[in-house]
Amino acid sequence: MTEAVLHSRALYIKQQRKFFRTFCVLLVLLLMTIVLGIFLGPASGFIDSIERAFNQEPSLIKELVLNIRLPRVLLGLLAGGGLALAGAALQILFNNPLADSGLIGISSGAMLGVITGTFLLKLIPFFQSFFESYPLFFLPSLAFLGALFLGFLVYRISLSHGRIQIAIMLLAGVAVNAFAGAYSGLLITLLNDEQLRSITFWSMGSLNGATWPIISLLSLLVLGASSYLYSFHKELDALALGEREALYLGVDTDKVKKTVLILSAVICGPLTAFVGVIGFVGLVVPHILRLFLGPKSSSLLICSFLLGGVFLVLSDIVAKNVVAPSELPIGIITSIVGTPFFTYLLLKQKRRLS
Amino acid sequence: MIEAKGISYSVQIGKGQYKTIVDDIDLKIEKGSITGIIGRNGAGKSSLIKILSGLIVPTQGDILLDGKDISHYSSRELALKRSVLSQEIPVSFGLSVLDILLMGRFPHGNLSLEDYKIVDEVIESLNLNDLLDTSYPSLSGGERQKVQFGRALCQLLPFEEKNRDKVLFLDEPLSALDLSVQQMILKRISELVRKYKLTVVFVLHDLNYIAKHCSKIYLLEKGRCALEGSSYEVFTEANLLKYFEVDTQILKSEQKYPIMIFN
Repeated sequence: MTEAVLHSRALYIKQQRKFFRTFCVLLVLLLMTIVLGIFLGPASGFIDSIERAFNQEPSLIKELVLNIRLPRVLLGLLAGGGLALAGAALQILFNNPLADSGLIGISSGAMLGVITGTFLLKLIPFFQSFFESYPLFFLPSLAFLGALFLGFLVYRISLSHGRIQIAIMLLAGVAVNAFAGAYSGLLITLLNDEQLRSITFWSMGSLNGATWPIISLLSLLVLGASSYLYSFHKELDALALGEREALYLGVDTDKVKKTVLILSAVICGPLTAFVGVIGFVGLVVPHILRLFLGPKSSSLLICSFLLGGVFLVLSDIVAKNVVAPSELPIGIITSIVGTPFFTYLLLKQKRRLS
Repeated sequence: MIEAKGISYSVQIGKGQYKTIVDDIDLKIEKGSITGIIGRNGAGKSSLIKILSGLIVPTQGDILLDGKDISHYSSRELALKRSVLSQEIPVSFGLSVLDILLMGRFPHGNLSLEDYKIVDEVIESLNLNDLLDTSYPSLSGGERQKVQFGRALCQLLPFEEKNRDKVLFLDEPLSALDLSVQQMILKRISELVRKYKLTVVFVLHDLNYIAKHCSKIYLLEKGRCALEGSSYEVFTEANLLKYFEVDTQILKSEQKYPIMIFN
């Protein structure tokens, strides 16, 4: 007997092919963005750097590419990828496309942690010596704790009878962000001018501080947590039917929800400590991909990571070139792109609800 | 198959104030039977289904599923034994019909060829072929419920497994569906019961369907079990007047079940 065609399997394979095609396109885009990010910068135009590479100062070029441009591009990939992937997962957890690490308090929680840390460094000698021996771990750990705390708070507030109330979620995010703003404003006034400048610039986002140790640490955290999060893709899909149905399907929803929140904080917290608050990546990227791929988590999470990286590195190229030799904070670029998008999503929801 | 002993469920509504939703209910559901749970709105029917299916834990009492306490089942073990079709399932993202059906195979582990065969069987029997690639939120209410019914079946299939009897809970699955979809789902359920000795527990407003198909009926009032018995025992003119406040005429034909006409 010949094998009968299984309709479900045929369609499933078709879906997988579409995912694979998108994956390949994104990979090519990613490589192109990496090349662009390395060659386009305020120190030299593209043509200029090739010319110089052939003529003189090869060591200077090598220095520029290896120690400044490449780490910066990689930091952009990790940050953009992590934020977008966490955004995609959070949207499923909150059962709403409007969730994003910036809107639900995870980013401002990280900010809270970093500013508290900076303040403690100034005040208490013990922390200062601790920071000097472990410069990579002190602020990122506090950022993680802050992110986890505020993210969990918003989640608890918006949960009512086992369902997320969207209006409450957005308002709780506003409240928590306002609190974080006021708190950091208060602490910032107590800092000196130099610290104030660096904190202010940091809080708007920048990939400026990229170094190899930071890249190593973030690779470990972001890639590790992202892969772990990915392993929950089936559970996340089931959660898209709502918590009750997921439970009926045998998903341990409490465990999945906690894991998603904690992993999102692991991804976004330390990252924010190094690159500052970069909003809307987690909102824009998964949404665009859902239009192409559909909402299935297995493909959405991977593609979000790739497109998030592309989006942030491109934003960085704009940020460092438009007002060269000065630099725009990258958070401003992502917000300029993101806010119209956010408004559009809000309007779409309004239409659906009325 | 399912045995509930003295189950109660209450929720806190204020400081020191509790509201009893399910109040000291005993019931026994036989394998391969269709059981109906009826009662007016707020009588505790949906809560009873949620307790019996293991979604919420009763404040008092025990539930035995195949002789084993339901709290001793893991959520996955439970998912392999019972599935639940709820009233309305809102989905925020545009998952395709196929995605939803495949979710039914979640408790069975990684997808194999066997799983696709099962899903195809369900697609065939419910005539979902044309909808497979459609996004769920764009479906009509009737189509959505058909898909969710399909998912519930995908979860339970295959019905004949050694040492594993299966239960299907339906919590007002047909409200707001047009007649053709209603009849189609109900017919499929009767077939499955006849063919595979599937156990079915219904919460339904359609009393005539309950009378025709259910071998045992529980009538709830204010969380308590007011009446239990066969359809002729429960559906009398006096009972319907007392518990539903409707004036009914009951036709006793040569049928094995009463037919109610509501005046």
